[in-house]
Amino acid sequence: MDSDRGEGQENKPRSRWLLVVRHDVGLAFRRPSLHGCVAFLAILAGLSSSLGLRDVAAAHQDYTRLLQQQVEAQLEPGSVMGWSTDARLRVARPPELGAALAKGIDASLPSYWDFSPSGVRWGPARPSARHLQAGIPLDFGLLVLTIGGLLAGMYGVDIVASARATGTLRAWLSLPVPRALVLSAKLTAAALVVAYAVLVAQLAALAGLLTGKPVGLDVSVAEMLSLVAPMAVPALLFLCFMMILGMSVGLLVPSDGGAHLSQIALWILTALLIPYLTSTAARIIVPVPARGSLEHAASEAFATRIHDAEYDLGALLASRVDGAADSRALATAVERHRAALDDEWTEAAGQARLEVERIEQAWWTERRRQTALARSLSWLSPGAMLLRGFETLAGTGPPLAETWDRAVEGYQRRLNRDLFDERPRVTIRLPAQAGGYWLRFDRRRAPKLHEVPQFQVPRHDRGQRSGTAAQHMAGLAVYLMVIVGVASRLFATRFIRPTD
Amino acid sequence: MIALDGVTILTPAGTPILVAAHLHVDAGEVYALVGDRTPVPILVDTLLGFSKPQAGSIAVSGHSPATHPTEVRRLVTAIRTPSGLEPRLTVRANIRLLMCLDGRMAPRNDAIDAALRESDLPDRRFDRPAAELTPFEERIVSLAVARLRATPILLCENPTAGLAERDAAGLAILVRELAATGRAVLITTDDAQFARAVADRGAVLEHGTPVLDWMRSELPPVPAVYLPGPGHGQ
Repeated sequence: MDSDRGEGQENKPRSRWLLVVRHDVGLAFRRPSLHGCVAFLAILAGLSSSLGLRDVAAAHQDYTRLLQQQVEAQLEPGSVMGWSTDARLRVARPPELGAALAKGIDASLPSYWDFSPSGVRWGPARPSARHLQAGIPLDFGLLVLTIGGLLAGMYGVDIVASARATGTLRAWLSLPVPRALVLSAKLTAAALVVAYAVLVAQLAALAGLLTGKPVGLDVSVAEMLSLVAPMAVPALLFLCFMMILGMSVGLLVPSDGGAHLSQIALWILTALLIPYLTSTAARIIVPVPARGSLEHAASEAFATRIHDAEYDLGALLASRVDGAADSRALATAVERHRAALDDEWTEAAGQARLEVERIEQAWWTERRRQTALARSLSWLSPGAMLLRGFETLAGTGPPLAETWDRAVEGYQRRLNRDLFDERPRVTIRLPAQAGGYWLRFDRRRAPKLHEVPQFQVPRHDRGQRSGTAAQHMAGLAVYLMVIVGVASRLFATRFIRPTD
Repeated sequence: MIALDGVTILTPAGTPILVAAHLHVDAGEVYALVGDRTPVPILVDTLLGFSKPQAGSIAVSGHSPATHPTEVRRLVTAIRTPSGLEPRLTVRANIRLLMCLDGRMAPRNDAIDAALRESDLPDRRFDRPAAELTPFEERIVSLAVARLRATPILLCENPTAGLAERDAAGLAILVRELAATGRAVLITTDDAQFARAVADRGAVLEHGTPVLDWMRSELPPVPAVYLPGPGHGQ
């Protein structure tokens, strides 16, 4: 600005654009309030990620304890009979590191699954982390959504209020400078200021994650950086949206106080209410019975079918034995009619499996409908999209549940095929008129634990995760473009107000 | 240079600001529109092409602001209230910024200083933030911008808002100095005394309708209070 370059030459529009950008950014950086707000955000970001990491460490201890219990159970001798839930087949889920930044559904997913002939038994969610205060799920994502959204919106309102009070924009537009150039430059400058806030907050979050070693999590800086860095994109898109929303409110509402209050109301709606109302609304519109009731219903149905099957086997055996027979004769009859009994059992087990699968399928259908509805409703709010984007990038979003659900259901199917439906030993219950005996029918040799199919821990595909997150970012980008359009329109029609 | 032909300007609420007005302002002439509603920005906004008149036509150096706003803004310097100076920038930086936005290279400091001195701003204020300027000094800086831009037309929107009578008198002299260099000056004000002191011709508006056209030569001399005092602006 102090260059001595002479007069009379024309400046190209691009340099005027840069001039406005530099001017606005320079002035913004001279405001102590900006640095105060950014420092406040950074402190909270560092604190939240540090506490989040301690939560992950606590969850990791729980996971390690589960693994130890499982190893101890596996040391016990004996074959796997497949009659009921077997602790040796338990599958424990490790916590996600990304939960330190965006808790998502990591804390609400089961910490382990058990497998039984009547289906999967979900273990409890992880015990609530020790560092959560008053149940508030404080994490980096929530911080950007709430505090970041509020500050960005207020900044947007202040940009317009300041321009209106000083008359700078009116004076600039009185010069032969295109309105679009001024607006685009001012939006770019404001976006750069927001980017600065995001950068500082992310560095603080990274610093918070680096405190992991003392709590027993030895994660490399590169891994943490790869976790934190992609989150800049949804954070920037959302905060720019909130900032331009604030500018639009400032253009619409002439009084500063009214504009600030309106922006706060919109912030409550966008950042607080809608993101949480979407999941609540989905639960109300498509209610899904508790998992426990499903497991109970499946267990009852399966037990009844198997019980009936055992009597059917007894009836079959009784029909093949003439008159009253002692236990030795019955045992001989079992061996003689092994093939028929086996066929009868296979048929009965298949029927029981169909019954259980019908109950499970009905539950899963409702659950998938609920999830799909919640996902659709989340498109109504940029705040919800920010949260989903953060959670997906952190690996704690809905894809985490889908991945584990698929893996667990797949493992249950394999166990059904190889163990539960091919039970090594079956009980035969003879009817009362045939003596009312209970007989053991050894269909095959009971497998050892190492002969039972092993669970394959699902791997998270980072590329797929990024692809899913990209959808949320695209949604945020659409919201941003819409609000830029609205702000441009308001700027053209409202800034120089004919009503003045 | 400025010609209004049957121009009617209403606010969106329907309040008449100017009704069927005919006027023209020639080069080197100062014209004042005086009325209780004339200080509102919509008059200058319309002349700069930000909004269109409800009736009539406007020509600024032959250009219609409604169809050629950029050409009009290239020819016009508008002195507005508030001044539009960035409070945290110094006076010199403000002027440089406005000149660059005008599409020119940043003027040298000596050129800026000369324009400010011609407008009677004390040297010690050149490097002070605009927030420290008095309303009168803000007008002076705006007039310095008009000198540097060398536009043939000057629009003054309610220029005496917030000014003491003595400062208004000083402003009148500065505006007349600019007019003497060949600029056409149109002033919208509710300050009849200032209008009498500064304008060659003018019109008094009642509810937006011109009810009295007057010429400086037909009026009695300006009261003494509007004469600048000794040492003003030093």
